[in-house]
Amino acid sequence: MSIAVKNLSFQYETGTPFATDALQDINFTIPKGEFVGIMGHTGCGKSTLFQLICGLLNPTNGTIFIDDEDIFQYCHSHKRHKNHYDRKSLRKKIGIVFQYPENQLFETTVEKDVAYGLKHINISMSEINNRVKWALEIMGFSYETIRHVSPLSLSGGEKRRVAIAGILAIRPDYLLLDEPIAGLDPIIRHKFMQLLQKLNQDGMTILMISHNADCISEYTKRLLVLEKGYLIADNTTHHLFSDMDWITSHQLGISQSKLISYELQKRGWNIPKNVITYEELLHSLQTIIQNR
Amino acid sequence: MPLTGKYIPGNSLIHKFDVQGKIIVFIILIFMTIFANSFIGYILLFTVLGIIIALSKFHLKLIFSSIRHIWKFFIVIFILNMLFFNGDTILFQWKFIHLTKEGLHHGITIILNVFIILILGNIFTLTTEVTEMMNGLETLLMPLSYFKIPIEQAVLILTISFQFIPTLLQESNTIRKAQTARGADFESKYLHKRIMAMGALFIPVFIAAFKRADDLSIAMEARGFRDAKHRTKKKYSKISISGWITIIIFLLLFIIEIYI
Repeated sequence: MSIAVKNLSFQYETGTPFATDALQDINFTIPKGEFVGIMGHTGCGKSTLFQLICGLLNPTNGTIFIDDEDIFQYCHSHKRHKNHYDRKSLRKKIGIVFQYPENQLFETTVEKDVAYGLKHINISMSEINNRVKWALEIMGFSYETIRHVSPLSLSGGEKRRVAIAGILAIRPDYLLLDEPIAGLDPIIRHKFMQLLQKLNQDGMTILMISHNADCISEYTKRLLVLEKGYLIADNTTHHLFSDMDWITSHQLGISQSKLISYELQKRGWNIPKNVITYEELLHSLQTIIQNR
Repeated sequence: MPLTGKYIPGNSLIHKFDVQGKIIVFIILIFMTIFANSFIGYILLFTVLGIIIALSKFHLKLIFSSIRHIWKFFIVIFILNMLFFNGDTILFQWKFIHLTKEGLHHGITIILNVFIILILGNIFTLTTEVTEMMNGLETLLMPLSYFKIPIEQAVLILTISFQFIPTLLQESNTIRKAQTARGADFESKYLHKRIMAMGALFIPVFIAAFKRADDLSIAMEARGFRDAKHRTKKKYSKISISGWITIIIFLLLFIIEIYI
């Protein structure tokens, strides 16, 4: 059970004077249960990568194996090959939260919108209702209060939470999130990240694109970094964030805790280079103070 | 994609030609297309078209790009026009379908006309910047304002609409992908499923469009916009002498064509 990306390349508008290489020869494998962060500048190919993983785009080269099945097999042949992969099954396995997901709300009630993604899965009406209730409650809503409200009359943050609930209700094995916390206030942000952590502990594989280095360092174990379509780093978050020079040379964000560690090091405090998260920083400071 | 404001900069003669001249010549050419009745008329038309394409210095693939997507549509128009046109010389008959010589003629004429006008439109949008186009349109229509027709407002609305077509297209593309990922089937073989899926696409796009309109109007007001009439424009385009000469040449061609 995994996502395996092999020699993946993608070019937009091939054959026109506007052809752009979005991804170049990407290779990585994500085993089930990981919480992976993805960082990179705007235009480096992150969103394109997500859309390819979901089968929403066809690659120019290479392929992707989801749970050991080639999802792009025979995708380039003109007629439907009898063995070609049915992408409808991906809709159950992979949930994707696009940037500003509140833009996809359209139903007359919150209940209906959250249930939209469940209509094509073969489950009973009662199970649909259960999942809608579960999804809305874990996103912080009171089911009875919110269910009949029009999603378009909600505030921005509430809309976002409803949209995400709609994806979570699918109970996908793999959850892809593209900048999920951009524009959310700090408390909701924290609650949401805690929720993701819990879902991950319960078995959901999570890939999260974010510019927020604090978020990436506190919650992800592994980090992929893309630059201009190339995968320039694939390692543990810890390892990559330890190297301050590397981070600044590629202009990635620096988490607050790392910045504090760095500044303390410059002023003579003996904080090891691989202290990245708040916990590690606190622990390190406690050790230093105790040993004085 | 035609008419999405897809301007490609260049320094061909067509690019440099007066905007107002271009608009007038474009309209004359449309009339020429409609009134081309004989074989020679079409030869003349195609020669002119060929010269314009050559002068624009664009790759043929680019100019014909919009045609490639709708060739099936062409076939449908051809067949419909051909079969259901009432003519005198019947070539083939089966039940209520009669294929007449006039019908065949008519079908071919219609396709050729659509083809020519599409190509012309393509060249026009490829060689003219949208703002320039709107400037030229506004100057041309200025006389109408004496009849209290709100030209400035109309042109402003057109300009803004054009500018936002690529943005709205991109937005609808994103929403389409997001809804597909939730199980919406835009490509189902069942028509009713496709129609249901469309609701999940249209409603969010409409809402986004309205929100954008609201935000844009606030942004414009914040930058000093009051109403369309009291804006100062950067350039006032006037038709140059070469522009007038070209217009007269095309008018002459038009007259020649009518008499052929």
